[in-house]
Amino acid sequence: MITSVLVANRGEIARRVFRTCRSLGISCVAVYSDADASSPHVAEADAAVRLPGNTPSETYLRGPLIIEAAQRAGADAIHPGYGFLSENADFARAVIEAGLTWIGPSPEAIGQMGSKVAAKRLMAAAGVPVLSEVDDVTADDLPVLIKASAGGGGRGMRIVRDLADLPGELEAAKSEALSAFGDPTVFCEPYLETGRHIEVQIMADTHGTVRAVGERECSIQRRHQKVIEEAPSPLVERTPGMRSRLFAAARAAASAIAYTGAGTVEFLADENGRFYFLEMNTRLQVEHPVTECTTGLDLVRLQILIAQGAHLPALIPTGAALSATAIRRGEPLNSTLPQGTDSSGAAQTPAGVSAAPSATAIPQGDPLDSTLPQGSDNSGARAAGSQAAKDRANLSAALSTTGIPKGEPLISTLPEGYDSSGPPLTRGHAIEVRLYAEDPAQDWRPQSGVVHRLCVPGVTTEFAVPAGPGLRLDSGLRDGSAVSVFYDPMLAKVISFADTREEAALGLAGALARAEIHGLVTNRDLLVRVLRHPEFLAGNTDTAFLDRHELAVLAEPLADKDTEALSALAAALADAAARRSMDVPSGWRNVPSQPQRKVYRTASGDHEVTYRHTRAGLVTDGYPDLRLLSAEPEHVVLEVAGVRRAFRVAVYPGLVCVDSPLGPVSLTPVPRFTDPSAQTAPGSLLAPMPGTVVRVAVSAGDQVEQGQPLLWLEAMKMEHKIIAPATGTVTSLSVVAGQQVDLGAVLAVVAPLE
Amino acid sequence: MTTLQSTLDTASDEYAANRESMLGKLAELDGEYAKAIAGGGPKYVERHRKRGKLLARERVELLIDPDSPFLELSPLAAWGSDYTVGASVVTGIGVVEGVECMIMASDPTVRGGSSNPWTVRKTFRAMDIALENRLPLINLGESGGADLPSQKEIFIPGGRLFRDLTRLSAAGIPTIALVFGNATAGGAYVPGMSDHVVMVKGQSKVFLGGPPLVKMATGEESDDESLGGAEMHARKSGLADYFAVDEQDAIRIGRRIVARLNWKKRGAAPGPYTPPLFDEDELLGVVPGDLKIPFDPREVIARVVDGSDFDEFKPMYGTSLATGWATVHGYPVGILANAQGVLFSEESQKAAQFIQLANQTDTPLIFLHNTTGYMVGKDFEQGGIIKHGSMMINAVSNSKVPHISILMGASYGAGHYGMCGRAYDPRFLFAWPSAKSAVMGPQQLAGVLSIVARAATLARGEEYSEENDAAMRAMVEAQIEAESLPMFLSGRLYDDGVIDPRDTRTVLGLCLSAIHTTPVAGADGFGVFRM
Repeated sequence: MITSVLVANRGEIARRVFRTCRSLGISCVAVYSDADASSPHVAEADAAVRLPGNTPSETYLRGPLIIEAAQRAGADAIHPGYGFLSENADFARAVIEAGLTWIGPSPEAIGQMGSKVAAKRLMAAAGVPVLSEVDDVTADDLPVLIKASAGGGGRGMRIVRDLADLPGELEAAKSEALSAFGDPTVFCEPYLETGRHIEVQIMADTHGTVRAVGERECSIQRRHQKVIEEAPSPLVERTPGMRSRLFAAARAAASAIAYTGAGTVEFLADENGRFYFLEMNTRLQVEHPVTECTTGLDLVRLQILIAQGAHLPALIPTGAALSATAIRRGEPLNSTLPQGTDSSGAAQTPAGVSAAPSATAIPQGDPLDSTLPQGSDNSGARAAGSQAAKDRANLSAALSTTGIPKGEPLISTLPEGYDSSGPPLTRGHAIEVRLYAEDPAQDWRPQSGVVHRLCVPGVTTEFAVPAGPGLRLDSGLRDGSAVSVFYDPMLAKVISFADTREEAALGLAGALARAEIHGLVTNRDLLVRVLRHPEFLAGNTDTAFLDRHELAVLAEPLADKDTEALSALAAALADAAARRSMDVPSGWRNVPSQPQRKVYRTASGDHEVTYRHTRAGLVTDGYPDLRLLSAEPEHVVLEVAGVRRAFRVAVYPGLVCVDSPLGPVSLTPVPRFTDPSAQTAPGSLLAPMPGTVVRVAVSAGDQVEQGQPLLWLEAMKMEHKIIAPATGTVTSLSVVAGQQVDLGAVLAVVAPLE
Repeated sequence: MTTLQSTLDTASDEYAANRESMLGKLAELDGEYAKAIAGGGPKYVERHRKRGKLLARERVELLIDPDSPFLELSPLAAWGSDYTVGASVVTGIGVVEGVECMIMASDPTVRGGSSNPWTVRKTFRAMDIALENRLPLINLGESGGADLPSQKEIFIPGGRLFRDLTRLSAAGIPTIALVFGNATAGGAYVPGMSDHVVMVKGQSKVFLGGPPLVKMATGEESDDESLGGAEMHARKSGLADYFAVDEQDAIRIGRRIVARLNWKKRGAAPGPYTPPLFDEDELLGVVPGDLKIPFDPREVIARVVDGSDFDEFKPMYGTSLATGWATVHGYPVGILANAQGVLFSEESQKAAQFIQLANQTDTPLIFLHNTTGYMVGKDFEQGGIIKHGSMMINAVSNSKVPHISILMGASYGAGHYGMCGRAYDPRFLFAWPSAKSAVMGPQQLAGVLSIVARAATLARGEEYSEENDAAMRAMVEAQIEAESLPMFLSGRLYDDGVIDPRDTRTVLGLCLSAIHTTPVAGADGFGVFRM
């Protein structure tokens, strides 16, 4: 029996696992790198063990240290989260060998899926549709996608459209794969320009039961990494019979490797509903919350219980079992059936509520999920009639193996007449966005630094399945947390759950637009624009969505120029209010000669604000019909053309964040004075972010062409080229390979040719 | 706590007329301010800008903290003279890095920023205020030195400038010179006598004698930079403590210097307070256009003091002068306000007692003027009005608590002295546009002259021409009227500025805050009071 779980991970996923552990009465052990010492996941844990160093290879990727940490802290199980060691078969094996419970699939299953090349062959043999691998790429094969065999989460993928690029891209992919996954093996496969990414959540117990819990669509991607995920899939919803084929294929995939625990089988699908196996992720997915919302299941709970030998049929109520039990709109759906639930009668349905909720109805006619015996043919054979009896037998086995007494609420017993052969009941629609500290407009450049504030309005739950329509927030940060250069810059996952897809999308967009996200550039505006996009709302999502609808347009700030200008004015007035030390009019003059002048910088340019408080009210250039209704250091209310507009203003060192329904605006106050000693020489190339210089291609005195790469900086697990801004001479080169540089550090100076 | 009531009828015709009259005077005032702001006019302003330089007021605005108030002093200096309104210098109290400082900025668009007799007086007044109130002095200099045609009025008294600079320093008050341009000959002693000196690359010119003079004196060939450039003074002579690359850099450095003064106010901090209960805007309608009509100063006090809360002292005695206690922006004050114009023996004795009480409790005093002077006449002379008036003047002269005078209406005769007129060194003295100040009212003065002339003529046995008398009276009345108006007096530096009545509370607050940079302490003793 598990009493204490060490989560071999950080940030939001560590907190997510802890949340379930808490509700199961299991204590929580964290590990942390030096950079994460003050992270919430560390503070929250019952015990935490330091992993000295910062980079993943020094810390979260060091299996022996983590196992030792578990033993030292008295943990009896390890949950790997996602990423890091979650799909490392050797680690899983070492955990088990150390006598700890591994909350995940068997090392063998991980190993089989770990090599993408081998996994595809295995899947093809099991009858799962796959895209053939391209060994010798010719012009006819183009475009092709290079993938890391050991990769996952989209990292290391590169599209090649021109044969000439192939060697270079292969080289880069290998280098990235080696750095990210410790294995340089890469392979090519045909690249589908407009595929849809559909995946199936699998749950399998150690007794041979494999269940397809539900599908997710994750087609909105950037650089092959998922940005928006949802359940159910709009494509699957509108394609008759697709769900049954998809679920069958997913079960076949899992069964082929005797899979146990939570896993995800990923497919690439076309608009006609044809799909191909991509890979199987042998772990919990980042996007698992959307499935939790629509099924009401706590997937981490299932992982933990399965790791203790529980029987799946007892854990996942099926739609058939509940179909007669009305679920009212928005009513929480218990993940386990209460004992004694009469699944056959509508008698318990509250009066006046329809027995079959319209918006949350289970798609009728969809094939039912089933338990497949290990290695069984998944061609559709199903023995629904005898299933209940089998499940009951399995359940008793589970009870005896885990030693949990009958009646233990964690694993409920099945009611009489329970039909476990159906898919889990689903309800409504859930959409998750990954809020990243990255700049979509600057080639998705990851950001690092302090997140002063992250506040999403209307959040109903954190890390937990919402009871009804609402917002779920999974975040590993708290206000003031730093996003370091060492790890993924995801700030939070925000999950919207509503009766319909449109409500989920628009509700989420609204909440994000109003969220206070202060400190770093994020992809928030892009997310909002995608969620509000007519094509997205129509369900026309595919992996090329961002390209087709023009990234530049989608990444445009929600706040237009006018809003920026008005927000700058609000910032200036809030600043003036904060500076009032005495109750005399702000900026009072007995002989007025000029207005107050403040300049704020945004990505789109400088906004100069000039204003003067007079007896007759605020006088400000460019706004003849503006009235100042109130100004406080954190709140400014203006009347613009007869409409009252309220602005929330938050001031941080070198940053002012103004939030209003017109759109969020981040402003950098331009200092009144410049210190000449802080000026840099013209032609200086500054580090765009903190990172490590990995290669230097030139030396001082070299002639360089405009656009020529001078050096490479690795940050956020990506290589960034620093190119010559103009043709000229490298007059100074201040870094060497291996050197760690801070944001804004001068890397080199190029004197342009006269 | 005694909350004042207001009986001001804002719907009355009188109020409307008073208001209109005051607004008219304020509009006139704005016109005069515009002249000061315009400086040397568009041509010279443009030429100055083309050199990449900031105007005097722009330098001040950049120097002081964002959104902070700036109390400009003597803005009408030189009004009514041959020189430009403002006297080619801007002075005032501003907040730099949280420190209230006296700021002086020469206006190089007006005859190269050279000093005329009014410039000198305005500068001296600012330095007096700095000394009395312990305000660090920041000089934004760019001046061609003395305006040579008027050198006779400048040269001898002007030497005080350098004396006062070093005396400020000796008194522990830091002096900072930011040299934006010329500071030559005598002007070179401004940086020379200052504690901290910042010079601007390529702009500052600080030498005793320029190249032509040097050539004449010794035959040596030289140039501006080697004689007095910023770089030379920063690297060689050591006169420049800081080398600024441009004007904004000089101001940046100036602010850093102030930030490092570790300047602390030594006076008591203000207490909590609430604004007045009555609208300060109504101060426009309190003073009648015709000063012969008295007004109740409590209507003013109710719109100036915190919470309109005024505890009156001796309210039933000497009712022509209201005295009492209040706070303004949290600073405790005693207020003396003329209620019926004339000061009688009772009022004089009441004032003398009240001033002593304020000194006993270290409470600053505010004088609100509307007086025609001490009462004359047989009964009053016999009643000892001279003795009693002298008691009041004795008390006000020897009082050591800070005084602030506001001329609301009339301020005539010895009443002006008793109410702490300019000669009695109030820390600050401001006038409303409605104020008038003279030895007596214009009609009275003309009448007195007429009576004296008539008597002399008749004594000589000649016939007194009524026609000539009327002409003489009209002429004298007009002259006295003009010379008792606030702009005229302000032009001669007899006040620190003419203010909008609605700004009275703000101005008092700023002055009291500046005053409390020094400790407030009352007098230990007074002159012998005649009883």
